[in-house]
Amino acid sequence: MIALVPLLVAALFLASSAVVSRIADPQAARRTAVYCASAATALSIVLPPLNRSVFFVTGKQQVAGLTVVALPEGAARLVIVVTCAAGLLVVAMSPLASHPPATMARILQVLAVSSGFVAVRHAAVAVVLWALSAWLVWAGLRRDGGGEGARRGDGLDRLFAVYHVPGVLLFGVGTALAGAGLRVTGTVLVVLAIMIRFAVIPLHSWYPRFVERAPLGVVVAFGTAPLGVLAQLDLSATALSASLAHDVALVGGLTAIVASVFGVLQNNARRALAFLMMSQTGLVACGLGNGSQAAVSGAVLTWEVSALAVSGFAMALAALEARRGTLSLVVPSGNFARTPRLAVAFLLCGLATAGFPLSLGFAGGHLLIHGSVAESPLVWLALIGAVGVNGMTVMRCFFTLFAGSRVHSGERDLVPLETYALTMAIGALLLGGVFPVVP
Amino acid sequence: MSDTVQQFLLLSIVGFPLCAFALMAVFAWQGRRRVERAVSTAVVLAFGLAMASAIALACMMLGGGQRMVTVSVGTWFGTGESEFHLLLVGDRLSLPFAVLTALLSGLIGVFSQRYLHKEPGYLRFYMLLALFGAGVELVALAGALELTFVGWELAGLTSALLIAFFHERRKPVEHGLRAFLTYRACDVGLLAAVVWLHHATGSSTVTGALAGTGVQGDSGWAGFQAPTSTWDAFLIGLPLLWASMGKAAQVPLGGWLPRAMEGPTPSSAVFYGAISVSLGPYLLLRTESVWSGAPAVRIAIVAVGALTAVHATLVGRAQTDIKSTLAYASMTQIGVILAEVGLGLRYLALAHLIAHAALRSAQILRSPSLIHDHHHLEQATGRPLPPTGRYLDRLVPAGTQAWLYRYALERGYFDAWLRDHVVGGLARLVRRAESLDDRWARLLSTGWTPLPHTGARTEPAGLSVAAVTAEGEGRGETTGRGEQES
Repeated sequence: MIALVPLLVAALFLASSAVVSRIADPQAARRTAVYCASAATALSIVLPPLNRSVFFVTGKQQVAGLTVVALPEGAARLVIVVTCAAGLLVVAMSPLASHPPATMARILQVLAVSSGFVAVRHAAVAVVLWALSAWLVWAGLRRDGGGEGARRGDGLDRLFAVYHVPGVLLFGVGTALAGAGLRVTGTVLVVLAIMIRFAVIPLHSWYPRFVERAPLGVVVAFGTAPLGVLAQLDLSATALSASLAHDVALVGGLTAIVASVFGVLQNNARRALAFLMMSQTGLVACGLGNGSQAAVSGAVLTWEVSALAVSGFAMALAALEARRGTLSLVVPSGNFARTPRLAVAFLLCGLATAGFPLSLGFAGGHLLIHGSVAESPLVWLALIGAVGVNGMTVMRCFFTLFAGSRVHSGERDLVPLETYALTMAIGALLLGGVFPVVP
Repeated sequence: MSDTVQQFLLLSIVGFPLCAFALMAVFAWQGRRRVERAVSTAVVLAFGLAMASAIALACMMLGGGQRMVTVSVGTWFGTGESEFHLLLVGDRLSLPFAVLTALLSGLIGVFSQRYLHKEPGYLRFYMLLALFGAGVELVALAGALELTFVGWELAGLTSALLIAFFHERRKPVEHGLRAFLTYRACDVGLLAAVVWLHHATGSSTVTGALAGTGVQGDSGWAGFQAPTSTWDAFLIGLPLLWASMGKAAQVPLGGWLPRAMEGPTPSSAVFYGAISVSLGPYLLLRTESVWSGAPAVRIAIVAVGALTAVHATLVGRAQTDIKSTLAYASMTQIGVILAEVGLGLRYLALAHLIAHAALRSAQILRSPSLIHDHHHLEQATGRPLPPTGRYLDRLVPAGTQAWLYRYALERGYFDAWLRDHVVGGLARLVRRAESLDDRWARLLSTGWTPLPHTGARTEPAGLSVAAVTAEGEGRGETTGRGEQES
């Protein structure tokens, strides 16, 4: 199946990546990337209703043996909008020092791959795109030596490859086996690949180091790519047996609670972020592995929230890091009087991540937990615990990074480009919280 | 017509403060200059209108002989299996509490106009006050336990942010964080109770007067559908008690309350003297129909309340500053109220709750000037004022007095126990597990080549701030106007 709107968006991201990679000035490159991401977001929002009124693609159409639609139906309907909005956040808030034009172009390529995954829903294409996204990130890590916080030769690229090469192979072989009729074996392999991609415990060791050392823009673009979610959604709809789904839910729930506890105890802001993101992916994996409609809807909503709110949270962290240097959570040492908007954006995105009321995260968390009750007491208690502890992590980060000190290093508040992107994201999270669209 | 008016009034009790907050939030995000008077007037007006609505509704209900008014705004979101209903209820329990909340919040708004004049966080204070008021009104009027959770979370967040109001000093920030962590740990109980109630009974909305739902006597306020089995009642009641313990600062979780006095005095008065700590007993009163079928829960509520009352009254006597003393006095009274709730004395508990909130709030507002008055009185009499409470010296044996004094100074050893054995134990376990994981990642990254540590954990590990920061700050951390001192 080919979805035209995501295809158009993917082409736009790809073209802008080519343009951005040729611009020498980092500021101009970022501005161009923001224009492109804004255009992509606008297209993904405007085209579907426009299509309904103009009827350039009505329902499903067959073209040369391929099913063509404007947008995928069902739970994946909003995935492209969320991907574009997260992409906008990433490119608008990536610090210039750690995100030169080449890195910015790579981020746009990863976003193009993510859009491509929504655009073309075919097993073989999924394998290629899965491999491509991992290769793009790996190549960036190899070339940059892991970003500004890393030391050359510390092996981040190697660690990434150790996990993702088997992940891609498992996904490819699993898809091939499932296509050849060995459905159970194939499904197990694909689930393992998804678990690596989701950094589900115990296949997670690459992730904290990746978040700690890679440029955060790349981390967020890679993390918000909907590959794992869509693959698991497809599996849930077709091939996942009840017992395997239950195991996936259990492992997801375990990841959510364990990662949340690890996150709240970190003294390094980036590592806290890593475990927060892991906890979120654990929640999503748990919900998607669950049989109930409410849990699946909650998981998709939680993924959408993760893509927007965690991206906002992470990029606000990146912006603060660019202004202040390495961020420690040992003692409160910030002063939000200097950066009130950045602080508020950080807090709101964090609270939305933790499923705070009046944000979209609340609806996602609510459905996820209610839908998981029938699964097993262990799972829903783990989910409740994870949501609670993630809230603690967010507030701890907020208080330690933005309060507790009279002195400040003269850091400036959000620049207009950052304000624009964060206003969009926070507006979407709050509006979505008041009027949630349940998939 | 009358029904429509009543429904509008009920909605407006929550709506006015929420609108005031939303309006100020939009202006604040845009970075516009605000006039102090406009900010405080908006909030005071919102609470004034909310109070007028609550009083008008109560009068209409009394006049019409109604015991309960409900408003369903529809379903917020959901799938077929699980839906979130927006249901508000006005009855003998919720309306007095709603009036009290609006009245005290409005008065605090008026009081703070001068108290916080030219304070850099003036707008922030009023925004948080408005959001807190809206959250508490939501808890009071919620006809669905999910909606209670929404208000509960809003009240908790604003409370923590106001404790850390003087954000340039480390202690208020640490104490705000500690309060939030305690709240959040206990909120898990409320969430679990909501989910299990829905699962056990198929509904988490109020069903009618308690008399019709199996509770002895006629309490006259709305209740939730009671679970059919005692085991379910126990499984729901216990998390509800846990949730209440956090907000109501009950033993062993109450260490945050005296530290919370680091916030501005007006917010301390309305939050920790009056409304915020009252939310715990209020939740138990509202959900009595759910847990009353489990005698073990009733016993646990009485035990927690009584233990807290004894603990807080002992510790409060060893405090050297007025706000800490008042904080422990609050804990004592809330403990007694909890015991009353557990004993089924629901009207007494409600009256006690309202009277205590009004009195304690006034006492905390008075506390900064009390020190000056005390000094003036001593100067006027020419000698120190005679100590009070000496009769206790005669009642308690000397050996026990020394032990009790140590107990009181160490605040019952609860903080140390939580820090060393609960949070500390968990932190040590996580540190070990993470160390192993880090070694594994390093091995995969570089083979056997040793690398310097990644900085995953510098020192001190664990919740350095969050973790129970009992050391040092325990003694005399606040004064009559502690928040003004560095």
